[in-house]
Amino acid sequence: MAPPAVARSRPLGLGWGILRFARRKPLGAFGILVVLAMVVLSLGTPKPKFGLPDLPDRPLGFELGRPWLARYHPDDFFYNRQGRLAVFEGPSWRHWLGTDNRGRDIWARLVWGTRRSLFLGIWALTMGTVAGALVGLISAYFSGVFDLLFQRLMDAIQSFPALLILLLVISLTEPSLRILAIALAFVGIPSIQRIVRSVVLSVREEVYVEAARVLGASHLRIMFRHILPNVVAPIIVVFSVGLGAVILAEAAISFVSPSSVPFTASWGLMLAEGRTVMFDHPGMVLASGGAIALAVMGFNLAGDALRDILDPRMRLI
Amino acid sequence: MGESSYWERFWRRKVSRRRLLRGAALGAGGLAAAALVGCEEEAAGPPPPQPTVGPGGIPSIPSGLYFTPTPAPEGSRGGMIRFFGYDALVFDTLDPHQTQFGPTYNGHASIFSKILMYLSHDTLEKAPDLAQSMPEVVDEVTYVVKLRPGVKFHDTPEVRQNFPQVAGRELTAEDVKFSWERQKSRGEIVNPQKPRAILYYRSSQYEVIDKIEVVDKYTLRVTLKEPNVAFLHYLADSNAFIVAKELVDAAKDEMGEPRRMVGTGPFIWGELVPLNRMVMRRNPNWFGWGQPELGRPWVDGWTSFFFADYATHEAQFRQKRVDVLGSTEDADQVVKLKEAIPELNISQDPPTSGWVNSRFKVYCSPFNDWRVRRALHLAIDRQLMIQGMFRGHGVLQPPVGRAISRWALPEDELARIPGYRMGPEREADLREARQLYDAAGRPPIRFAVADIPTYIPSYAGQLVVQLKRVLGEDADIRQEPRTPLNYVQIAQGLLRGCEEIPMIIGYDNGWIDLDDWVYPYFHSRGAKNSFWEQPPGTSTFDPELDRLLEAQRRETKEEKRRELGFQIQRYLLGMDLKTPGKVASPDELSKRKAVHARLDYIAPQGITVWWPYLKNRTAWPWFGNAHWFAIVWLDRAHPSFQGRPS
Repeated sequence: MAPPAVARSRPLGLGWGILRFARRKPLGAFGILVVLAMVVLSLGTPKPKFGLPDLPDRPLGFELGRPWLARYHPDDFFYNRQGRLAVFEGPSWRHWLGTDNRGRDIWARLVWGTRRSLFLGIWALTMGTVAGALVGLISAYFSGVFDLLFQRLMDAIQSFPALLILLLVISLTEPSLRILAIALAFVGIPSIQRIVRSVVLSVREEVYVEAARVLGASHLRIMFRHILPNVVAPIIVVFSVGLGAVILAEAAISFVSPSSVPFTASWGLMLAEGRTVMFDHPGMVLASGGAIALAVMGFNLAGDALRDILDPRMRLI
Repeated sequence: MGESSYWERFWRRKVSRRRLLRGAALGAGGLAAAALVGCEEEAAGPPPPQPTVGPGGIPSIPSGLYFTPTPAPEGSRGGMIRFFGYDALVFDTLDPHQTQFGPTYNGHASIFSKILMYLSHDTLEKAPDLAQSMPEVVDEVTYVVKLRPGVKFHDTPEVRQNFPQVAGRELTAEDVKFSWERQKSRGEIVNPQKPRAILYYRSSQYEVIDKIEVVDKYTLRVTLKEPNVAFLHYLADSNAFIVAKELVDAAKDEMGEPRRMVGTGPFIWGELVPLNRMVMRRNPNWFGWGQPELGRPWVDGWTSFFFADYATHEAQFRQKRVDVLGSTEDADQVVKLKEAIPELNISQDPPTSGWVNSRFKVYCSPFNDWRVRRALHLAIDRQLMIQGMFRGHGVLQPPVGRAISRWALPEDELARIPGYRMGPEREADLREARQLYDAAGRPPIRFAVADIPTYIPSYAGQLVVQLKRVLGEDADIRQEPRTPLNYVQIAQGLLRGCEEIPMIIGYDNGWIDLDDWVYPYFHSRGAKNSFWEQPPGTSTFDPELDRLLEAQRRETKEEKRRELGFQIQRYLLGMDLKTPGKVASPDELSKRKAVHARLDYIAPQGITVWWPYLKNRTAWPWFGNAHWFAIVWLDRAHPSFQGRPS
């Protein structure tokens, strides 16, 4: 007699999965939507060069036709019917969000600023996360004096306000997106390593780590083969939540010290340029301020949702 | 922008305009006496210019002493004047003979004195400063300068401690001789081994001197190598400061430390907090331009604050933490502030002498091809620059600044010159630019930009777009390096080969006399001629231009000299010298090394408001006039003074 057929639940399709996620985590879904929108907008501008991001001089329009989302180059300027520079024009079909103080399209600058914020954030946080994870991993794994020294060093870095360190670094160096990315990465290291370290401290006591040690595995093998894979989840969560903070810091730097970073389209720069006229011509401030707020909120919500999915324990942290 | 409603209301207040004009007329009448500046010896010059009502109804005030300053009553003496300035940006040496950073010698003007000083940049009238009277012109190469007796160097506990030999010492003819010879020799008389020769940017002014004889303690006899009508200007130039020999560090040939800022001027060095503020204190023993009994300076000192942005500046002004608010980029906001606070005084200041320009190393490819330089000259949209950088508050700049109307190419002629003209003729210029660029092989163009003022680097992207629109979207034009350069980097880069900044867009301070605008830059021996590869003096940069530049120095008749100045400007702009209004032939242009070696673009013209309690405010087109704070005072009895924080 044939065994009775076991009723197997069919795996949900991608569409159903997304829908279920959206119903269970509506805020998370909204955050992910914002992040996706930023990615799509970024793709609407030219691809960055290989390596750290820097804006190419030539807009995509010269190579592949006009950018379909950015519509214009961020430095492109327009004239009105009177033949004067179209300064502070209101929203229209031609200029969705109007024009700024130099007759440039605010929407185009917003889109180019999105790419700058996103790529700068990703680069800075990738560097910061890799460095922070390494420091946390090594520090917790070896512990003892080594850990003590590393942690006091991290305490020392963390005792300075991040914005102060960023301003110091960019004022001592030539203005460059690379330097800004490195500085942003640097100020992010202590908090990332602290989270990674706390997870490693518990993971290294696990039986499988002990077993690997007994079998004669090297420190490097234990750290990278047995411990690191088990701390990836919190690292991903830290990365996604941290992106919002990095974007905010970049905007703050561009706002506080616009001349210390290259004059490319940037949300912070737009905010700085627009604030003196914000009561008469709020378009620049509303667009850039709204974009910053939305991006930070989006990454935070997306990070929260990821945390719930990947590592529910971290909700208590 | 709401301008019309504002100006409607503005015109309703006609009484105050009349009062202003009446006051200015009275001021003009009183200027001859010049009691406040102690220049009773000065011969009556041309009548001072009057305030006019400029575009939009804002009074356009002339520069300098266009009014008779009112003396401060006893109860209104003291207090610190506070304003926004770039004085705290010390990017250059503090040495008054070596700096070329405008804000730095602004502070110097408070501390150090000159032989003569300008009363106005419109009339270019001069008056004695350290001199007792205007120098006696013995013959066309000989001048006798008599100094005021009893002029003392600053005497404070700090000076007594650091330089006891200078503190309170009387300034003599030897000090003047040293100051001139130091610059003439480019530092060799201080340190023959290690002079900082390259930093003596004004040396070409003093190289005209053949001999300086000290006749007595207060008298010098100067003999020039050849007639030079600009010599009296050199003595009044914005940074022609007289220093004491003891203050110069002989080993370094420098007096760049704050403790060495000891002079005979109306104010004493107070404090410098870089990027924040510069403070000067009243000199109680100032010679007061021959009238110490007037008790000037009437304030205890001045503080120049640096604010990174307009919003902070306006907030400080509203709280009366600064007494003056002026802006070019945010001039519209200044007008709105006047609208909100009607009691404020408002004026459209003269265009600044400082201007935005670019310079090329004409020995470097592709800028060694005059067609590329001319293509850029024609293609760059100066009107757009005025809009983009100054939101319309600026003027077009010929090779001699518009601020100096005596020497600048007349406005109507400038408006007809290719590159500056508008309308249908502009289209022809753009076509020619494209043709020239094509003929030159469409080479890649790389330009660097200065980091300040920030409107320059922030405009760079727009400039690229604008040039591509004219020269073709495939034109390879870009900013390189991508990051703006500071002026030290620029100065160093200009001395190096073609790899570094063959084209730079930056800001220059601007000058007074025709000679300063053109000779140091374009003459083969000019101290600022970085356009060509040869070290100055080893061969000739542009023989025809050298001839014109030397001729303007010799020409004693002002009208003829003016015409020579126009010719020099036309030459630099590629115009035919024989046929006015016609562009020189390509053959002729190709022979002129200097043509379009420097492209002059625009100069800002800001709008300023100030609280009515601030009295005797003067406006000047450029830096180096902080000695005029000696006549400013704070009217404590004025209602607007209420609430001003001490």
